[in-house]
Order: sequence, then C-alpha cells, then structure tokens
Amino acid sequence: MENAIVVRDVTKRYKEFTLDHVSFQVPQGSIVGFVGENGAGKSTTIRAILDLIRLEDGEVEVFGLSKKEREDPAWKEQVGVVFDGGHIPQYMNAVETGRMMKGIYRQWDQEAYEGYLKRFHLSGKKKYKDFSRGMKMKLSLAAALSHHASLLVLDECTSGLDPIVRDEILDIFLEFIQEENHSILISSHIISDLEKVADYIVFIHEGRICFEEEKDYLLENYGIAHVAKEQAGRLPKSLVCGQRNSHFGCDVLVRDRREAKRLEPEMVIDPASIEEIMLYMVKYH
Amino acid sequence: MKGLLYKEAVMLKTTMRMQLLSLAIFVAMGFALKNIVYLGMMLTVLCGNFCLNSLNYDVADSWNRYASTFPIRREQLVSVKFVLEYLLIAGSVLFTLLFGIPFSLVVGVPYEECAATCVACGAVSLLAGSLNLLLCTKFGVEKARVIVTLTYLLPFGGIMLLYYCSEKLGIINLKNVTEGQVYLMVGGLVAVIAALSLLFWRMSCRVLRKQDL
Repeated sequence: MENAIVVRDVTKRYKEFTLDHVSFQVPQGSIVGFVGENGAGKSTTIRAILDLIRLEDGEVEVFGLSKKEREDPAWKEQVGVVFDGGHIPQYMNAVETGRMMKGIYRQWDQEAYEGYLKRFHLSGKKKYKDFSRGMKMKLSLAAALSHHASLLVLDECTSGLDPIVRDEILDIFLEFIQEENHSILISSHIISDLEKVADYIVFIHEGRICFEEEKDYLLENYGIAHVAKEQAGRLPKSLVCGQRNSHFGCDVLVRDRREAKRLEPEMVIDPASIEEIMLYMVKYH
Repeated sequence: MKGLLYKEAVMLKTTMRMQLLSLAIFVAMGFALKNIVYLGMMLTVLCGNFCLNSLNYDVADSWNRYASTFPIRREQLVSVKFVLEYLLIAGSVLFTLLFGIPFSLVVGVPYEECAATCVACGAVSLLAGSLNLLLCTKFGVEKARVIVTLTYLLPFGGIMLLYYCSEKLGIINLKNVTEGQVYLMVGGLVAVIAALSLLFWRMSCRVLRKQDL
C-alpha cells in the first residue's frame, strides 16, 4: 500500500519541549487518528508535515515527495488543511473567502464550495468573526474540501464543538474517504471521534510515539484486567502497559487480553477503549 | 497572488470609511495650514498604518501559518504586503499631485514646488513603509511597534540633520539652490529609496522563508 505521508525520525527541539524522533505513516485510502494529550506534540508534528517548521533531524515525505521535491508549492493543491481555530481572516465573509480561495487554488470548485455552504447552513454575508466556533470550523472545512484535495490534514478540528456538529463533520470525513486515493490525518484529543472514523491510531506522548496500530487491532487485543495486587504481579511485564491501583485491588491494561486470560483464567478482563489505553499509558505507566 | 491581493482589497474595503474620513480631515488641514507637506506626511502615515493594521490582523488570525498551507511560495505572503504598500503610496502621491493643482492656485505656491514635495513625501513613505514591513516580518508587529515609530521619525530627522549640516558645512547652500539641483536631489532620493525598498523586500522574503510558523 502506498503512503500519503511518511514521517521518519522527525526531531524538533524547543526550549521546553522536544519532538523526539517521531516516525509514522498515513497509508493512502485511510484515516489516521493522531492522538495525545495537550502539548504532546501533535500540532508540531502536523506543522512539520506541512513544512511550516524547520526540522533538526529526520524527514517527511508527502505523496512520495521529498523535502527538496516539495520546494515547488504545487503539491499543496492536493492538500486541504484545517487548523484548530480556523485562521480565516476575521473580517472576511464566506463569499469573500470563496473568491480569495479561487485566486489561490487552480482546482478551486466554486460549485462544490457553494454546495458545502448550503449544506452547512453558512451565511455568505456574515463575517468570520461573527460565526460560532462550529460555524468557523465548518467554513474552514468547506474551504479545505472545495479544491479537490486528496489529503486532508486536520488539527484538532472537532475540539470545542457540540456532538451534533462533530457527528456531521465526521460524516463528511467518511464521505471524503470513499475515494480510494483519499487520505486523512486527523489529530484530536476527543478519542471517541477517532474511534468512530479512524482506521489507524498513532499515539504520541511527550514528543514520542508510543504506538502506531490499526484501530481494530487495539480494540480487539487490549484489555483491562480487574485483579488483586498479587495477581497483577504475576502477569508478565511484556503484557502490562499500565496499572491503576485502588483500595480494593488494581486495574491493569494488558496488550493481549486473550494471552492474559490464558495465563490467568480467573481474571476478569474487559475490552479497553482507546481512551482507556491512552489514559493508562500516560497516567498509570 | 491574485487571491492574496483580493484579501488585502477586502481589508481595504472594510476600513475604507475611516480612511476616507481621515483623508478629508488631512485635506482640510492642508488647506487651513497652507502646507502641502502636512498632507503628504499624513498620507505617508495613513499608508504605513494601513499596512501595519493588515499585518496586525494577520498575526491575530495566524494567517501566515494558514496561508503557508496554500499552493503559494512563502515569499508571496510578504511580497503582497510590499505590493500593497507600493500601490497605496503611488495612490497617495497621485492624490497629492492632483491636490497640488488647486492648492498651488489657492495658496499661491508654484506647482513644481508642490509636485517635488509630493514626490519627496512619497519617497520617504516608501522608505519608512518598506523598513517597517521588514521589521514587522522579523520581530512581529508587537515587538516592532517601538522601532516602527522611530522609522517614521528617522527619515524626517535625517533630512533635517542634512539640512543643518549642509548649512554649517556649506556643502550646499540650500537658500540659493537651483531648480535643477532640487530635481536632481528629489530624483536621486527616489532612486536610492526605491533601491533600498527592493533590498528590504528581498530581506523580508528571506526572513519569512526561514521562520517557523
């Protein structure tokens, strides 16, 4: 399978934060959920992918193009980007935003844009600053989807939105991915959204990638064992990802719940959600 | 570039009412003070302010970060500000040149003198504006604000200094300066400033190309 994005050993040092040899890939035709707590390095990684920051080490390939081959910005015709907060000029309305984009993207599809405005119930005359957060994100998304991009890069685009708007937006992503060469990289800390749409999950913590797995693999294999402390000690360390102790015993996140069950048949092991996997790895590791 | 220029045009349209009001006040003051330099200088400030306002909005919206995801070169983001600056200054010079006609008739100053003053003001505006764009690109609008104020004062201070030095040192006797010398000085000033402005534009492009957004 070809990759839309390949991130290889990307390193960027700031005074108080380091993006440390981050590597993962976004296979073509898939949705990759990029998860991690606030400040874990999601946005920095996305900025690295979009050539917005200079790297100290490592490399990024987008559509198989190296950094040098991406010097010609034409490749960005194929990429739609939505940042947290939008970043469309506050004083512009949706109609003006469309006209501006038409002057920027050669493949701009005004009809598609107007279709999205209608679908999202966005007023053409209302200024961007007067839109609600949900409306702002919808307008940014309409702009990102109206130039026939084959890759969407979305940075926290669903955060702060109500569940109905989020669900609408997730539906759009699922529609977009119907085309086999379309791919999405979506960063979020709203894990439930990613559980709905993502094919792969990349988890970043303190600037390092903790895992890159198929979502279904995570949901099928990881589990939370509810055990007494002495039982937890009997589990092999290679199987344990995190442990939460309480007065009554402890909950252990295991990598392979079937293997754990085989080793300790009396254990009660529930399937783990991605949110729980992330929580145990960060907080109870 | 077309889309970026359109964005600036929308910004200009948004603030048009205030700009026109300011212009009307400056024209009235120019007549009242019988001083075309006043109008030229104030238009200089108006053009510069507009470009800084536009930059300020861009910073508030994190526009450069967003626009760097478009299929355009980063240099175009700063180039569009320079193009805007040049267009506004050209418009201001044209306006003051036209304003000079009734002004010279009413006040009784020779039109050639008015025209030379207008062009000189435009040149100073070009220098200050281009330098400001470079400083704001390098340091950001907030940090550059103090230095930007100085850049408006420096060209005028420099001219005054030149005047007093010339008087004291006697290199040029400005009281008996010929018409030809005035045109030569204004022409030279415009050429030097145009070259400096191009240099500042190149430097701004370089700064933005290396910036983390």
